[in-house]
Amino acid sequence: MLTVTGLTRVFANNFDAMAGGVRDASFNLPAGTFFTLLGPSGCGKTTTLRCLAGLERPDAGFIGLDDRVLFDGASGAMVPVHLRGIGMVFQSYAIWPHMTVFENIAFPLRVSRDRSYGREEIAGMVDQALSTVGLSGYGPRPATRLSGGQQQRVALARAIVHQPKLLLLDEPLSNLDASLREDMRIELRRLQQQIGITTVYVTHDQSEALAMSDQIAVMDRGRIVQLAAPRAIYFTPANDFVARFIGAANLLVGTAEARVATGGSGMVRLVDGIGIICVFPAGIEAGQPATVAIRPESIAVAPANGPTLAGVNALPGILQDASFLGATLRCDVLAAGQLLRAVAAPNAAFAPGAAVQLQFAADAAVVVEAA
Amino acid sequence: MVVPAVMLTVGLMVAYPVFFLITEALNVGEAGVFPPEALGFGNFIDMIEDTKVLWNTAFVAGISTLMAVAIGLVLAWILTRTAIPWRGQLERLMELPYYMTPLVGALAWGVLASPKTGFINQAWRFAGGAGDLVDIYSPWGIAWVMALFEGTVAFVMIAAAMKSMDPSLEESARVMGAGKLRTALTITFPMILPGILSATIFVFAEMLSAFAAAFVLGIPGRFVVVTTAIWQATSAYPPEYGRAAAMGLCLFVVLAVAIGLARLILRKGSHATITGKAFRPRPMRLGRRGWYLAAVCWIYLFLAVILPLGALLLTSFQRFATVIFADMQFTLQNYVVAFRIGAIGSALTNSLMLGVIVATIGSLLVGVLVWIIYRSRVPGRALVEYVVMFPQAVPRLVFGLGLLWAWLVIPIPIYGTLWLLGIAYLTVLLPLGLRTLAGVVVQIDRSLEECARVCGASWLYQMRTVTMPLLRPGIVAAWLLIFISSVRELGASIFLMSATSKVIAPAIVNSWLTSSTELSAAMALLQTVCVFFAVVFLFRITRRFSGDPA
Repeated sequence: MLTVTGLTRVFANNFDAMAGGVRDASFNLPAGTFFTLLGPSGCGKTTTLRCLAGLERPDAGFIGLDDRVLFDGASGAMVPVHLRGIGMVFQSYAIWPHMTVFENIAFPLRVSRDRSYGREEIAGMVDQALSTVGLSGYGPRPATRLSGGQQQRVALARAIVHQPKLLLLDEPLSNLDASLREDMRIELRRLQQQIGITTVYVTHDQSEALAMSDQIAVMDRGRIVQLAAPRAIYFTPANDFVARFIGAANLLVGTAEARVATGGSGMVRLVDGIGIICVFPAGIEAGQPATVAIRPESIAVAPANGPTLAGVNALPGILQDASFLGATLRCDVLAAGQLLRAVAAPNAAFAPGAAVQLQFAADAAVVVEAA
Repeated sequence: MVVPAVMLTVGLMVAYPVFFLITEALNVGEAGVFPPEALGFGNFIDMIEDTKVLWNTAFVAGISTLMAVAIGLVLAWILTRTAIPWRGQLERLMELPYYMTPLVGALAWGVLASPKTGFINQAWRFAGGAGDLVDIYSPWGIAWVMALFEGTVAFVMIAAAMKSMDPSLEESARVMGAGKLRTALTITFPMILPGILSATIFVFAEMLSAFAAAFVLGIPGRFVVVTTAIWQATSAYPPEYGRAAAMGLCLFVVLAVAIGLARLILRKGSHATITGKAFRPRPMRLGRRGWYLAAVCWIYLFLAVILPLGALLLTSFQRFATVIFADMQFTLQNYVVAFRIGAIGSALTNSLMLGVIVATIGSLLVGVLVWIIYRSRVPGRALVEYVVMFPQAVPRLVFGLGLLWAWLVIPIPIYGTLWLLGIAYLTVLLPLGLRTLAGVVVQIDRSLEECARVCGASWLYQMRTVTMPLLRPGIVAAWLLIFISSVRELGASIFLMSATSKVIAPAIVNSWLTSSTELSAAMALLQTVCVFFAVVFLFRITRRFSGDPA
């Protein structure tokens, strides 16, 4: 159980008014959770991770792991980094070049304060860790003679060899090439579930986050803007930032026609007078401004003169550009006064300049908070 | 708390001599009295009125810069852009003239090409020629020696500019239809021009403050440049300290401006074309012509290393130096004298001892400084770096001059002892050590250390198992470089040496001016051998560190 409350660490920045860091972050993770901090670069996710590791001293807040207090801003108590007993994989992997693979992985056991490990025991545990990451027999190899993927595995083996209660991963896949990244994504998740270790994962890659996590915290400018399960993040983004960052949603601005209760649906009148039916997760009063998020893959592109279906929103538009991507046809359509992106079936034949109709279900149009 | 202490110590070591230099330059009262009785600009006016020295300096520096840049340009082009046999080895050997030192080079070329007795002139007359073929005691001779031995920086800088150019920039010009010559004129040349220009200014500054060659080869022919004029002014009777200080101060200012200008050109001119990435441009295939180009490199090495060392070796084993075989009288006497005469033997011992002590203290100090500057978050660490690096901007000779008065005046009886030499070496060589180690530290990712902490290591354990092993090659390299530089130090030593605290480089100079050529050659070779062993170590260490296959 990892408890983080009101975690704050702000960096003064002399170059512009913006200050980096993390502000007032709180989350509770039950044991075994795979938790992802997701956000663009500079959003404070790495700072949060470094505070958890003890590499950064928070300005305020509370960090507790099970019944241990790792940091308490109120009393100023802080467990130094080397006494926290956690595992961490750095973005650069931080494989020590002057040691062999075996020595790299044995390091946490050799410096352990909880108990001293015998020579045999260390050898056994390192072999165990190596086979867990699929590198059996690589022990005697010099650490400099490893490929990127192998380095990543060694770093992971080193982080789990002493069976820590918490595993921290700082963009561990960002230095791998695309196909290897997909394989490692699956393997990392499988490994985490096999060991059952609480994991905090930092990434800026939304598909990694969605595929691997139990819980995702989306961060923007130092704050957690939404903390939820992957599906909830995707289908009901808390605000326009999350909607755009996850899945590149189209955003339409309009006004609510009437009062809508929490979770109900109602009409939003867009700027050019067209009305669309939307879902209001938070409810709204009549006449208030509303931002509607619609995912490209929820929008169907149909001929302008085709039939309209009942209960389905339809927006007339002009096709500006269509890119054939193999599995899909990506369309940019000028509708409701702005460019909207839609994903059509690859066999659809639309020429740029054609008049089209964008169709989407009412529950695909979600009203989000404007950040 | 550490930072103010370091600042204070280093600041004192640097600022104190400079303060004295300025005071003395403005002192128009009795020389050497502190505080001065009268202040004025008389010393500066004296200096400007001595137009002969200024003209000599400009002439020699100008000619030698042109020669050095020409040599550097040709060698850099051959070694970075063409596929010649043994290119890698040749590139490494190009460092040797730097380790030869201008002093040894000047002595050797004095042996080779002095009028009447020089080997080349001897051979010329033996072959039936009349008079002297070459005269090294001329401005051209001095410029030639300076270009050979002080000009290595031109090669290094121009080669760096050529290496860092993305070859695709040239390739794209070729693809667009430009011929080879047109590509060279419109793409290659404009892009490396800032590099060449700043190298030229840098070398010119180096030549202005060069001392050894002008001293060894200029004094016999009464040809005086500004650096030797400074030395003459201090050793005259009565000493003209004020004039020396004024000249030293002006030299320092001119140098500072020149180096600033060179950096500005490099930064302004190259930001768009040269990235931080090191490219290996695809070398031109030349076939048989490659051998001619390799021969050019070998000729340079022959003139700058093999010929001078051979001449010194031959001289040091003879009673009277000659290349006429029938006249040769071989003897070990010169080496016996070099070891037996107390003053000379102790000079070598002193130099080696100072070298070891200064290198040891210096590399430890540099380790601490590097940690403060690059790893800690102490406020003011940038200032620490600036202060430590400052002595680099002051010519050694001028710095020695400042130290001379600074410690003459102070009541601590340190002047004339090895202690003062030690302090001086430490101050002027710290920048070298810092640069060397900093180059290693910035390559060590901070996460390597952090990871050790996260794994559970205490700070001490992390230093012992991760940081120190990774830093070791850098520290050893810094140690060796400081050792080499202090064993061959001349500029600062020549003012600070006394009868009881002799060191080798000034002792060689004195021997050259006052006793026999043959003895000087033996001493120069002994010094070279010490440096040579350290260089061999250095090459092995740096090669292992850079990970080149052996």
